[in-house]
Amino acid sequence: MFALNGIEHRFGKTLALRVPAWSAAPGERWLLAGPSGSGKSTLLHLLAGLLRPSQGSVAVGGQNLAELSDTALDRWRGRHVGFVPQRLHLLASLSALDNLLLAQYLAGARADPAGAQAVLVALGVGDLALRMPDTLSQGQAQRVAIARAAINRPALLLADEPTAALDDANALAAAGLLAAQADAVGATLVVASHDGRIRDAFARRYDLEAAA
Amino acid sequence: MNLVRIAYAYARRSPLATLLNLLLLTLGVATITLLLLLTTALDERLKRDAAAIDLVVGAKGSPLQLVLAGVYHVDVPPGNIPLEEVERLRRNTLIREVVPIALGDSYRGYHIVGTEPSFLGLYGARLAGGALWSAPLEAVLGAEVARRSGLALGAQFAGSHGLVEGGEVHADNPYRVVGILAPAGTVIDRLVLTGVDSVWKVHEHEAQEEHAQESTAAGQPGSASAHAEEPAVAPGREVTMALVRYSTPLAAASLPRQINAESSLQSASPAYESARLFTVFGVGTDVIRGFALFLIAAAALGMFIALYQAMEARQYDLAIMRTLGASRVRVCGVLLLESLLLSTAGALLGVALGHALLAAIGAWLPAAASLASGASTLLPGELGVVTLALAGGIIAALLPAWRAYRLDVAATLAKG
Repeated sequence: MFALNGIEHRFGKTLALRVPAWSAAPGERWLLAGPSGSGKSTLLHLLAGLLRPSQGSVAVGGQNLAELSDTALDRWRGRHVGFVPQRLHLLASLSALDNLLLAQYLAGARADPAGAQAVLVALGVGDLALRMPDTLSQGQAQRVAIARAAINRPALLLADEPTAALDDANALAAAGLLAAQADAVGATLVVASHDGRIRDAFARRYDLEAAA
Repeated sequence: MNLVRIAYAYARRSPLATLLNLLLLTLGVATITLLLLLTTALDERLKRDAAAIDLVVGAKGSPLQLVLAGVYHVDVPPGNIPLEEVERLRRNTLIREVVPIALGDSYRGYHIVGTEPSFLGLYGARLAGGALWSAPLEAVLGAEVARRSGLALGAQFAGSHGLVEGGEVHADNPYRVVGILAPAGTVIDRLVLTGVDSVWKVHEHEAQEEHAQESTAAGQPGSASAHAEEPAVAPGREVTMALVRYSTPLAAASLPRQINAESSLQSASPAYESARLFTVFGVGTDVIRGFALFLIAAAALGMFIALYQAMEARQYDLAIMRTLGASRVRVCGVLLLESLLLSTAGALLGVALGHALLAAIGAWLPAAASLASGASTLLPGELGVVTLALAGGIIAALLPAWRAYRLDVAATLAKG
């Protein structure tokens, strides 16, 4: 599904990340583990095409990301990658449902309110579709954010520390929801987390060392 | 979902700032629009009223007063001139037409003008009903006078002394309406026309009474100036002034100087005097226009501050939009569009408000009614006003849009 080779990424002169080789097959569920500052977020950004590595190559679904122009990379990301950021960042001006419709619109997909509503229902927040994000609880907002990441049926679903703000019960539930959504859309799942509570929820694990 | 909906959602998110900026912009655009409409209408009116009159000849005094009183009928005239002078002008080969006018009385604030039938031609008027005056004390009403007074053909009315309402009423010499003019869109709509001899007749009798009154009121302050303001035509054949059309454009070069050189007469060109008048209150309109531009600039600044302040919070939204597949150009488009939506709304509301204000002014002030006729037509200049407002909106969004374009998505998401 994806293959990283000889990756090094620097911010200025500081080496932030080194991944000699890592690849995943379609449909696999991965935990990306490592202490804070080990470059987990940076690695997710590289996989999503939000960053270009200082060295090495990133290929996702057979597409070498280095070959895409900036604009083409934006378009590619919208179609093939679903991303759940750590702070969720639902657009506060838009309702839960409109956040999903925004994702469809920006990815160039046909507007499909019924499909969006169905995803919200699948995640157990169907009755909150018209609520504004600032009226949702943390757990509810996270379900909406997962729905937004999954709405365009991405090939690659990425989540950055999805359980950091959740209690024990919700943490496990969130990991389960991500896995279920990845299965539902046939996506490869990568969850970056240093949270021991969800360690056992994933069959595969890639460990990052703290950067030297 | 589309960019317009996104921009609208953001504008709705901070309704107070949005409304304030919309209000500022609307007021600024409305002020400029109203000013544009008024000055255009006024300029047209002044030109149309004076279109056929090349020169006004009257007693020595202010040339501006001659034009205001003789052409636009908004001022009291200076003293009278002897009828012989008018006859002398008629013999001048440089002059095609001389129309004498005798002023001094009014009916409900509408000036009564003693004149000759050729007066109608000067203001592009024609009869809508009845006939022109043929005997003393027969009157022809301008369209607006007839409409507002309700006087019909055959009705009688008494003129009052002086050009403002409330003067002494000449009840013993009533006028009879013999004709009514069609609307001409000029000042003649608000005049009552009659023969010069009517004015003489009304005041023959008047002059004797006034003479008697004056001897008893002698020494009272103001009596002398009151007399100057009310140039009662003495039994001697006098008129207030003469409106002149040249027979050749060359006359403009020599005739005014020739007339002014004669000791008792003064000439004034309506075109020149109204242009002079325009430069005087042009300063006033410049000040108002400057103020309106200031309002538009304040609105643009307000939009800029609102957008720029929102950038701090908005950067995450923009980063998410990029993550969801939006290109750099698209996220900057959201900001530009938001500002453009607001400025378009402000510009359209402002133009509409400007026209509504003009219509309201026309409805409330009868004197301005004819200026308000432009309320339903759009001027080319208004396109410039709208463009100005839109340009303000774009300029306000430029810096925020540039920041959106440059946004480092990964760093923003990593920040939190």
